[in-house]
Parts: sequence; C-alpha cells; structure tokens
Amino acid sequence: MPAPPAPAAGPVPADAPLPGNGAAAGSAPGRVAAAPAIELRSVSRWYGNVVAVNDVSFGLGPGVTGLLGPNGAGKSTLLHMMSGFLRPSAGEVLVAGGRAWRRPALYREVGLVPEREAVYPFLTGFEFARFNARLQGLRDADRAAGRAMDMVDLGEAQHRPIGTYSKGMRQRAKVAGALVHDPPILLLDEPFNGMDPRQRLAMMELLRQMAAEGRTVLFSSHILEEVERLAEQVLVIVAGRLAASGDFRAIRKLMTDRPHTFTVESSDDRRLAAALLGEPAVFGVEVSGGSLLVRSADFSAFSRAIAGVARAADIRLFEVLPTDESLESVFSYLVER
Amino acid sequence: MIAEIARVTARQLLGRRRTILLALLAAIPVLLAAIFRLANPGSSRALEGFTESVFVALVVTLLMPLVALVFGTAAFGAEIEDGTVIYLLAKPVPRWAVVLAKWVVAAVAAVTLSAGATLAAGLLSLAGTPAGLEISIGYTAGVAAGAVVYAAVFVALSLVTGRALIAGLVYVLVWEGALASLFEGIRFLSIRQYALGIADATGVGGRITSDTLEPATAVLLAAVATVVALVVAVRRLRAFEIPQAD
Repeated sequence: MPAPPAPAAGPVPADAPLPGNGAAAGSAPGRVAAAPAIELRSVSRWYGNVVAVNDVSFGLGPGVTGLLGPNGAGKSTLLHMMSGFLRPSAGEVLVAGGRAWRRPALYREVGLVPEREAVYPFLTGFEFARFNARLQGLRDADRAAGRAMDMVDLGEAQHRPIGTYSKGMRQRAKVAGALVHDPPILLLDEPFNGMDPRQRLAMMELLRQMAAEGRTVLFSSHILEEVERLAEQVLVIVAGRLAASGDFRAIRKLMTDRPHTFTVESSDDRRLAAALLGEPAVFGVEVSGGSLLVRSADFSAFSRAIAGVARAADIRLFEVLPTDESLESVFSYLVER
Repeated sequence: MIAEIARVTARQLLGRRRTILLALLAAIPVLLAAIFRLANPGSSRALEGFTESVFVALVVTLLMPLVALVFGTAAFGAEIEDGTVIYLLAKPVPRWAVVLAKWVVAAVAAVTLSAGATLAAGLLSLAGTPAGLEISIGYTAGVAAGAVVYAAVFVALSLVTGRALIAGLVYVLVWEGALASLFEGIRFLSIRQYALGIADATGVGGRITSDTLEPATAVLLAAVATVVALVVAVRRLRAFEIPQAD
C-alpha cells in the first residue's frame, strides 16, 4: 500500500503528493491519513523517441482535482495510465491500492469517461448504461441504469438511440455509463466537451456532489475557467511534465501575477514610455518599430493605470494589446519558474 | 456477462450494409447451383462435378474466408477504430470472456452465411443425385469448421495488427491461394486445407484433390489453430493499450 500523502499548502513542488480534499486532506499531525486513491511514482511514458509523460509523481485523495494543460501536454496519456489502458514506460501507477496496468478488477473501483466521442450509436442511452451495469455485475442493472440516466439529466431521452443524441448528450451518456456502479474513483477526460453552459453547470454540480460524498474525481481540461470553477486541487501538466500542483487558488495567483507584455500605439510613444516608468505596475519599457513594448508584473493594475497616465501626459492611445495571453504561454511561465 | 457482450457485438457486427453485402456474396453459389440444375436436370454426374467445383473454387476458396475475415476482424476492429472498445474493457470482466463472446458471434455469423449457402446450394443442385446428400453435408461441415477456425484467427489478427483486413487478405490470397499450390507443406498451415480435409470425413474423400489432409489430421490441426488463435487474442487483449491521440 502506498504511503499517505503529505498535506500541502499553496503551490507545491511539482513532484510532491497532493492532499485529498476530503478525508486525506485533514491529515493533522499524529493522525494517520488514508492512502491516496491514486498515486503516481516517477511515472514516464514514451513512444519511441517521443516522451509523452516525463517523471511525474503525485498522490490524490477524495475531492475534485483538475488536470490542466494545453492540448498535447500529456493529460490523456496520464489518464490512460491511471485507467490501466497504457503501460508506464517507467515508474508505478497505483490506483485503489493496486497497480493500474493489467488489472481488470480495478474497474470495480473506477469509472472512466474517455475523451473520444464515439458511443455505440445503435444502443439507446438506457441500454448503454445497462450494458455498463451488467458488465459491472450489478444485480439490478435496469434500476442502476435508470438512476444513472436521471443523474445526468437524460431521463427523458434515455430510450432514444445514442446515434440521435447531440454531442453534449453523448457526453452525459458516457458519464452515466461511468458512474452506473457508483465507483469511488472517477476519471474523466475532457468531460465538458460539447456541453452547453447549462449542461456544463449541471455536470459540475454532479461532480462536486460526488466529491462531497467522498469520491476521488479527476478530470482533465485545457480550459482554465472549467478547472477554476470546479476543482479545489489542480495538477498542471505541460509538455509531459508536472509544472505545478496543489491548491487551485494559489496556482491561479501565480498565473495572474506572472509578467505580462503589452504593445501600445500612441501619439507619442517616447513620452508615454517615460511616463509609464513612474508606474509601480510597470517594470520595463522598450520603444521599437513605431510601437511601445511595456512589461508589467500586474495585469489588472496596468490595465487600470494606462489610460490615466496617457491622459495626464496629454497623449492619445490608439491601441493597447496584451502580446501573449495564450494558455500555452501561461503554462510555459509556470514550467520556467 | 458473455451473453451481454455477445448481444452488443452482434448488433454492432450485423450492421445492415455489411450483412446485405455478405449475404449477396453468399447468394452467388446458391444461384449458380440453381441455374446449373435447371440447365442440366437429368445429369447426376455433371451436377455433382459442377457443384463440387463451385464448392471448392468459390465457397471454400473465397466465400468462407472472406465472410469470416470481415466478421472476424470487425468483431474487435471496429470498436478499436472508433474507440468504443474502452467501454467494454473498462470493466471487471475477464479478458478470455470478452474474446470468447466476440469469437462466438463472429463464428456464428460466418458459419450461418458460408455454411448456410453451401447447404442451400448443395440441396438445390444435388437433391436426388446418388452422392448428393453426402457431398452437401460433407462440404457444409467442412465450411462450417473452416469458418470457425478462420473467425478465431481473424479475431486474433485484429488484436495483433491495425491492418488485420489486409493481413487477412494476404493470408487467404497469397499464402493459401498462391503459395499453397507451390509448396505442399503449406497445407498443414492452411485453414482452407483443414476445411477440405474435414469435408472428406463424410466420405467425399478422393473427390476433392488427391493431396487433401486426412480428416483426423485436419480436425486436429483445426482445433490447434483455433486454440492458439484464441490464446493469442486473450494475451493481446490483456495487454491492450489505447492508441494515443494526445
């Protein structure tokens, strides 16, 4: 059995175990914490010369954890290893007290929602949930299937073939199939893809509720806002490496407080540059090629200050643009730290 | 559990277009037999000779392996391709049970079409001829056994390679078709030869080709090939990895 994870406060080193948000999180000194439901120990996975996941370690307990990273970062590879569908090239993946690889018994404890959209189109939603329930060996598969369909709000459409479902409905049918046996661990790969805002909120509420009941819920996403709204804990993965892990708010602060660069076009770039240097939020300016490059440590403070500075100096602003706000650049910053 | 997997596999496998196409293929020998019977109503010898050549050249050489190839490779192949196999495998189900269910469905579908067509063609063409029943039953049994072995091999092949359909065609057309006629030893590794050997077991012996395997040898080799294929399939499925898109 793996060792219990140490509680973490704020952003933690990328390879440190994460605390759970429920039972495991309350591991006060002198109290024995529960073993993590999921634990990765120095896990790597490569395909030929390409390293998809590089020396990743963490532990997860009950609660909602977001696996955040840009597309192609290695999120699905990690989830596939945790769900026993990929053999780690190095290291150990432990789920529900045993190795994930080549252990079909694992699936009594785990519900998996894969990223790929396809679901048997010839089955109705109810038949799909019942198929899952029967393969889980549930005694009353019909009842379990009906309950799961209600949980994902597909009760009315449950007798329609999945082939006629919208993308969001298919996503929900996949979730129903994953939770039909009431698993203590839920792994969801981009579960909100294709859902409209109302469905997304309902699914978030459902996942929150499942976590509150003591389950370990891990979902991947490349959308910061999704993770922000749902996850208490976060694992940030970039280029196969764990860039940060821990409490979401602390990591979000890191992301917000990172240096930002703006390009500014004005009626007098040189005078504006001089005026901006007096602002505490600005730590660098550069005049080049007919525009002004401004570096700031505080996105919000700079955004509020620039108009006032220009007005005071009687300079007209034509354009103010943040140069690189892509999620990839945010992640790159976290990796470089 | 096995029944549930088999049910879903059957619904997936017996998609309308695939089934209609294969049923049309299976109807060809039946139609040929019926037409020849109508054209030669009184000649038992000619009817027997023609029907046997249809069985050997068309059914055993093409229909049986092709039908088994399509059903056998699609039993897993279609699910692996579209990713739905994950719903089947993310369950606490022994992998041998999954393979068994898939093989049974593929084999039953292949036997129904290929052996059904053989029996129908035989009865239509040879009813009332001296050796008609013997030939019909012999070939039906041989084709049924061959379809079962082919189904096992092609189910396994779909878990070994992503290009199972092409690999299966190469086996049927190149290995069994071209090479087996050049090198006699290959017949021991040819499912087609097992089918012909089993057809001989009902007393058709000597009619098909002079170098047909002994029925007992054919049955033994067919059983070994089936078991080996299923064991390979189970082993492959136990170590199944999702192809990565990430």
